[in-house]
Amino acid sequence: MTAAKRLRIGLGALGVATLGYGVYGLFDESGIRDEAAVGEWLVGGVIGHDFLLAPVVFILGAIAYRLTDARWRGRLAAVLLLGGSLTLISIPALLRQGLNRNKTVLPLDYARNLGVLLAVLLAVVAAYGCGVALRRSLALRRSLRPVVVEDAEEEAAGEEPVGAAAADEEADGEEPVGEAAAGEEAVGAAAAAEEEVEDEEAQDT
Amino acid sequence: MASPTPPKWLRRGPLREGAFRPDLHDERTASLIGTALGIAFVICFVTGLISHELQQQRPPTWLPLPTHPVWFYRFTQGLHVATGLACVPLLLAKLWTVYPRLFAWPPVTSILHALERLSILVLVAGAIFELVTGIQNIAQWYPWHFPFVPAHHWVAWITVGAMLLHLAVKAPAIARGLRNRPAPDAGDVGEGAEATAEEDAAVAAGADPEAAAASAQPSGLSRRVLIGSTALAVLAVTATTIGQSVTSLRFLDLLGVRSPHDGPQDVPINRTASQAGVLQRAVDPAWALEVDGPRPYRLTLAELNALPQYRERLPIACVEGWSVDAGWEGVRLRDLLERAGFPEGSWVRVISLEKGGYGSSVMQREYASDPATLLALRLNGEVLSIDHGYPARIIAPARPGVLQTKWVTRLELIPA
Repeated sequence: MTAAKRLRIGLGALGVATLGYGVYGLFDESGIRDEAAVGEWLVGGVIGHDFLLAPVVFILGAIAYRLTDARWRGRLAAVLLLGGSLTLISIPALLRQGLNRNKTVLPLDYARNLGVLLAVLLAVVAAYGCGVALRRSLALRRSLRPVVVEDAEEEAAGEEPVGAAAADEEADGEEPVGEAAAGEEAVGAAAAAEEEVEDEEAQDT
Repeated sequence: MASPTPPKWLRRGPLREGAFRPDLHDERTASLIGTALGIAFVICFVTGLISHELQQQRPPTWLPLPTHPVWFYRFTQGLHVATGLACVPLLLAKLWTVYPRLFAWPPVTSILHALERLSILVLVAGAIFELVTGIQNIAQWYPWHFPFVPAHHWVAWITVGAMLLHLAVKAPAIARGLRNRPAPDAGDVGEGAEATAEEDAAVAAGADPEAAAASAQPSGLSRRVLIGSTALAVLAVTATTIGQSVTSLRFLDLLGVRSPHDGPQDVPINRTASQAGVLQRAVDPAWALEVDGPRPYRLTLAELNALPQYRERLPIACVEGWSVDAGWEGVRLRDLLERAGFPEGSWVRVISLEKGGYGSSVMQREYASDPATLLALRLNGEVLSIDHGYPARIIAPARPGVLQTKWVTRLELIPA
């Protein structure tokens, strides 16, 4: 038996022991008189996720797949994950707001705050998507102008936004997408350019 | 191997070939997100155990309890709650990644495989349970028929046990995923039950021409986008809630269950005088502090105010994760105990006007002998408000807020 295998078995045994200790504790604990209630919440969580939340998400994904292109899918996935997480963590606050006699518990206006966050999220993604689309169409138009292909290396250098672009007419640091003569290639390069932009903006956020 | 695809009548919905697009349900994505989630769970578990140990009310504990830094508990419990909240997007992303495996065919290939799937069921159930109950607890919402603390505690052990078992079973897949190696072909699966079901399904999908047509086109979602979105979601959840513990970031506190300075005297309250049922007794002019030791005595509020007063800047840090620094002023607990002839290093029982579970607390020697521990009479420059424990409350460094007993009426020596 190899050391790695022994380690795995040891880890598995530790896991079983830990799990067993937890089960023992749950049943031994005098404070918990109704273990079945704990079981219901354990099973209920799995059902809630696997047979309610997840199918909804996958069906939404399938719909988005039919209606959008790859770039929008990524953005929608981000909206779903961010918006979904923010909404899920707010559910208790939304449902319990104003019900506690202690007014320092849940003191904020959660419906408003969540609404603002979701609206900002949608606005940012929409504005960003439109901005990218606009730049893309500008880049495409430029690329259709007749230009001289200077060097094959130029395209490879497209990944480095500053250095290679120095000779280019553009002042805003965008990649020299115009150099690619064929429209199709230009779209590809423009897409690469966008990815760069996406990177930068993701870091900004 | 048994039938690698479901019978025809079952091949619908998630059991249809190519029901899930093939990208991002792979070992690499699962390992990367799983690693982050695993680290987060370990942080939650360790900080949770620290909180649990600090709240043990029976002497002696085997652990010397820290009174410094005074923000120790504020940090560990703030981290516990913040990490738990951050687990929400991580768990969602992880479960999304591995969801197609729920429909692997055949559902069970061997007893070992059945046990492994059972352990994953336990892991998923425990993980969801911990996050759901934790998030409801910080909002003080208890729509269940069990006490939160022991249930959250024991299910944490169960979940971490299932996670260790899962790590042991999946070690080769995790190693491949993290090193970005491809999964082996179905032909040379030597790892036991674990990898077979999914790969069989993949092979079958490739072999079946009918399936090939329907078979999954990549969705166009890149792993970078998925992981980036998960990271952004973690950031968003953390940013909009962390202000309840990190008060300098309270301007970001949009979804936190507390606002750090929302409350009388700029400090939130966990249990009001009305909820504790002490509205009348707390303002009774006949109130006096009784100290029961070798030389028992009673002090009225005026007499307490005439003793040497000390100021301490200490955080009040709740098990529910919120915390805030405050200026406390009052009598050193140590002085009161010495006056009653308590031996050095005694444990103290603190008794409140409140009846019931929070009506008394046990203070370990570390806190009782610490000069920063006060029987506080004033908070942020004013006489304690009734909701903050008028006429007198305990404030000790690095201690869970639930043990900072309010409306104190009596101190007792706990025999060693």
